[in-house]
Amino acid sequence: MAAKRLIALAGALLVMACGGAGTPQNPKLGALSNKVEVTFWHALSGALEGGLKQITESYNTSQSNVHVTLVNKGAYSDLRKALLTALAAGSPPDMAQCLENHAAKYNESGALADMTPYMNAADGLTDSDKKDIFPVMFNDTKVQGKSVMFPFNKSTTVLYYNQDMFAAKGISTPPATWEEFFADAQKLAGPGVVGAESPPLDTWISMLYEYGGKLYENDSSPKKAAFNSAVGLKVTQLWVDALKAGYLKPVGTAAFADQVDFQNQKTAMYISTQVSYQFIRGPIGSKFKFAEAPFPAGPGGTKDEMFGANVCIFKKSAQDVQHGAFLYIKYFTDTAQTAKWAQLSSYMPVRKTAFDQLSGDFYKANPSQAVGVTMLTKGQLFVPPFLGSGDDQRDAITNELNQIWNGKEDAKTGLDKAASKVNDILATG
Amino acid sequence: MSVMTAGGRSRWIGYLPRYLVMVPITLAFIFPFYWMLVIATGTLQTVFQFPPILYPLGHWENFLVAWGAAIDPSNNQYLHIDWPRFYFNTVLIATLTTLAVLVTSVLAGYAFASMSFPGKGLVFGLVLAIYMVPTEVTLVPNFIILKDLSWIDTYQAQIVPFAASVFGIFLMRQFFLTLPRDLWEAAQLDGCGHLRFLTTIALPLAQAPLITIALFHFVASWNAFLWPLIMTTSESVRPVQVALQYFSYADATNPVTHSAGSLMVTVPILIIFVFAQRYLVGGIASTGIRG
Repeated sequence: MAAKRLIALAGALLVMACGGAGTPQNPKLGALSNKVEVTFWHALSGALEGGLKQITESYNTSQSNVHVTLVNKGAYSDLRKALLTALAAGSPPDMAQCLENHAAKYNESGALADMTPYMNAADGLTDSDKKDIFPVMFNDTKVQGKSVMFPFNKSTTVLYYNQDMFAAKGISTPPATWEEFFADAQKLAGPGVVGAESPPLDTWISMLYEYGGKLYENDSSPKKAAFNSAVGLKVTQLWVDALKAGYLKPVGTAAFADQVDFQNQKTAMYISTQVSYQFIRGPIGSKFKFAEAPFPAGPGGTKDEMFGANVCIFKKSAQDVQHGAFLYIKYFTDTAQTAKWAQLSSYMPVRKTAFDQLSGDFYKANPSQAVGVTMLTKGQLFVPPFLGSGDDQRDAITNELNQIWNGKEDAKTGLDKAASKVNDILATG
Repeated sequence: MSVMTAGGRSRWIGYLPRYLVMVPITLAFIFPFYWMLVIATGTLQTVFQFPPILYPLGHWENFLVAWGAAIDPSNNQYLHIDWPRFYFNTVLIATLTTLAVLVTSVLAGYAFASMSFPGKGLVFGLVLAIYMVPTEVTLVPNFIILKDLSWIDTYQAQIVPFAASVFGIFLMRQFFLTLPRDLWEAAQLDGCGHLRFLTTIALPLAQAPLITIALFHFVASWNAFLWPLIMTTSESVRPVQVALQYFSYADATNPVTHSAGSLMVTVPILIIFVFAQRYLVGGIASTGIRG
């Protein structure tokens, strides 16, 4: 009996010594009590920047500890350049918008702060808060196991379609599958009009997964490209055949040429992010009726790529500034604000409770706006692997796909060349 | 009715090959500006029309939209861009940068051309070598220096790093080398030092290369985008080129207002160029550099 007590005592002492009771190694952070200034670099312009300013100003006036200053750094590519320069100089902002590939790049030098301590702080997120955030968004924020991003302005791809053109051709519903998509495109094509235009890279990636393919042999540890597989070839060939038949056409080289073609009724369908709604509704006006439909499904169901940006906090900032930055993120993504942001911007709300709230009135009044987030609630969205070299890989694949869409290369040659380039990039980092 | 003489006709025929080369090249350079005007005065419906409409459609109200004085029909909102502030910043930055470049180019060019000091050839070689270094390579080191000086988000961050120009120094050196040595010797007899000779005799003769340098650097400063975007965070010091980013969105673009904005930013520099371009040729020729 004495021996057992001795062992129990020794065990208790060991646990205490290791910090298991009373003296935790990572004590929970208290609430932020001092005043901090937070600089936030972003890449939102136009109405989106207006919405961001509105919510940020309301945060700045709602409390006195944290003041957030917004800095517009151009487009996402400009923001990336500015951040890489600032990081190299050891002078990043406190927080910034970051696409997944970009975050992976910044984190190669360990520049990003792990947000876990701030999520777990006394003024952080409760367990119910964490459960309220859509899991696919929450899981998208980790790099090497650390929560270095937080979902911010998330979107996904939907299918815009010209309802008047569909009605004129006797098509009553938008295509739900790719088979229907190509069949409808054929019916819709006519003089001066095509069904749709060649797909953006992200659409092609989504289709690849819907047909059972994947980008890499091992998506969880990408070492070798696998998109030039038989599945990749089949998906690509579907588009090539439609382009050759003439009821689809290659997208122009000008930025957003497909968007303007849809506005001008040169195409009957247009695949783009749901946020494009903010930019096409004005020019279309009352010229024709259009709506959004879910991303078409393949044999493996719907696997639509989620994109938009997250936010990152930079490790270089003092701990209380990082803490203040997280409190701003928490405010921006609480139920009320993320619901407001969704209405202002067409981005998806990051919380389930916000979706429920919006479903009550806003989405009923604007059913098109609910399309993307409804796919999210059905588990139809996914995030493909992201890497620091992701932008270079995307450029390599896009260049070859454009060669294929324009008939300058056959699908096999183009995909093999793209895979070879991606393998080179993966090998050299 | 005038009758072309045999000599005039043969001269005209002699010029023909030149015009056959020059006219297409000139059109190729002018067309992007013309196309910008066509898009800026068109509509979203006409921009991607094929075959394209090659003449301006006269929607001059697009400039009011780009200025923020009329509602943008694409989103029923006014654009909020503080153009006067952006223009003021650009003019200030471009003017001060140009003045600084002129001062440093004249002094360094004169020293390299007319003064003797140990290692002159080596130093001049090093200065020329800087010309080979791409701007992008200097981005991070310059950022670090400016950060250490606490100059991020200031006017001086956009002026001082460009206050000396290898091209300017080289051009002025070449010009000063063309001045007859007798001028300097005569000035010396009259009691002139280097500085007085430079300011009262050499510089008044150097109008053409000075205007050339000024024009080049004013245009370069006016067109700067990446550097000010990275070095600045507030609109109060940002130049007009950075304002153009407000026409680019993550999920769309409006080529009509974007072109209108681009034209508004380009026209002032085009006007300056038209009036000053004759000095470019004179400026280069006067330095003894021949194409």
